[in-house]
Amino acid sequence: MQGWTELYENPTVLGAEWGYERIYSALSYAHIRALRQAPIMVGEARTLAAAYPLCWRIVDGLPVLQALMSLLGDGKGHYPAPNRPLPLALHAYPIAVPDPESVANQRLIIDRVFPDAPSDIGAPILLENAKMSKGAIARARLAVSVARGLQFTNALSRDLLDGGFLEPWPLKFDLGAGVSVLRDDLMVVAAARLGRPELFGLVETHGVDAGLFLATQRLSLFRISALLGLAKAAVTQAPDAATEPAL
Amino acid sequence: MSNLFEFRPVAQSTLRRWSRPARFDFLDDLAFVPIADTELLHLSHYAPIGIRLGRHGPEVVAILHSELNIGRLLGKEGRWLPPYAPYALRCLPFRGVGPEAMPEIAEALCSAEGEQFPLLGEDGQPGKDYAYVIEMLRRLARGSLRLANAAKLLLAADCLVALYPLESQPEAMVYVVSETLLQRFSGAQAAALTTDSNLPYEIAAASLFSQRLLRRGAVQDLPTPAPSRMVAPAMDQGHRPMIQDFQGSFEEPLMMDDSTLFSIDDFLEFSDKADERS
Repeated sequence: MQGWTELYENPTVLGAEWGYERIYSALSYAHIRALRQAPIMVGEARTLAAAYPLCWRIVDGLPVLQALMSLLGDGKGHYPAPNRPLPLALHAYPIAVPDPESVANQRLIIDRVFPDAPSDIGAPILLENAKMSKGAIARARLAVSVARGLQFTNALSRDLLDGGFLEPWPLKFDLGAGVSVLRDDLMVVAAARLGRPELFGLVETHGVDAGLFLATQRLSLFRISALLGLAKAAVTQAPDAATEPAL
Repeated sequence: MSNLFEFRPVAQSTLRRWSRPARFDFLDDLAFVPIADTELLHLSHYAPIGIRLGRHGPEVVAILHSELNIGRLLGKEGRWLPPYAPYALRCLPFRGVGPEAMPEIAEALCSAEGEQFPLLGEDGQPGKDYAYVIEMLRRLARGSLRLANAAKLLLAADCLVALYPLESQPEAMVYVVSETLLQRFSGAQAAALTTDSNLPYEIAAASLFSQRLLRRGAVQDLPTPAPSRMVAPAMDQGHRPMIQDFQGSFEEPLMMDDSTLFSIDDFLEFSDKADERS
């Protein structure tokens, strides 16, 4: 799936020969802790908007909705781990959100990655009796929920891009200590284009959720100030300046 | 309401100088403040957004009363905490009465210790700081009017639910947007709310988003939500999905076989049945 490749390092079809390995919470895995952004679906936008700016990246010509989780690229500048809000795909991790091919082939995909910093005792994927553990089932259900939500999310995102309702969202900040950040690969809803008559047809097609989401995406952008505070604190090594998510 | 908020036309005031309030621990007396279109989305991060219905129609407000707002608005010594303060608070001790009319002042709100500003300059025109307040009040009046017009659509669309009235202001009728009622709209009805650059949806989204700051039980007659394909699992206070809700719907853990190991089709079917049962 476009935009999801950075989420999974070693996606592997669940097999009986290794299914008894334990899985851990998402932040036990180094590459998940270092994510600057993660793909999301519209159905979780309202929850995530309290913590993260929501925006799009164009991947292979298609817009992928994302939560921007940090301005820094080295695993720093995030909300502190215990209270870090996570997109649903990361709550399901390491069970992967199934793509249409996985669904067609009836495969459950697990990102088979070593947890370098386990934050809990973990849980087996399979129990001794070859049944899935409750924890694994719960994550699989979340992964399937996200896959379902992505159909609407991707269709709406495509129509927004094709209809000219997205515009670049360049980010350029001086973080102090000689460090700056530049992002020129993000897009957001173009407020100035919301007065165009084509918006009527777009919302008529996608319904109330589309109208609400356009506004939710816009209000989420105010969280960039929190990410900026976190990034500056990380750069200047001033943990007291760290910002908590606005719950 | 406290006599702190006895406003009178500035022209009738005998004050020569004014100052901003030193403390804001009168928010419960104020309870609600009108907001402008340009601050709606930002303020929704810090205060529940509601719609107050009065004799002149709806008015979009930020809900500040501690009986309704569970957010932390004030710090030590009654200082405003959130990084953004609404125009209406920044303009105190003045308030506007219309886009073109001159402001009113509540003299009791002026702090004796705070920095003092002249109401009028030597040329008889508003002093620099007072002139800035007048401009903010006019901006607030214009933005508030635009929001009010958009809120009329939400009122007509019957997608608002009432809050229980405050004991201190029983006459104030304040509403918030109900997602359940919105979800009943047809495609054309949904599209009708895109008027004025999607402003009705911006009010609705700000109200729904900010309801996480609304005290539980504040809403009267909450409609029963219908199942929606868009609704993600509920999150707890730690932003974790409340997975135990649907864990319990599995009577038996799924059995894995030795071949393809997991049938997503079967899983989806099973999940749908579990959803129906729940």
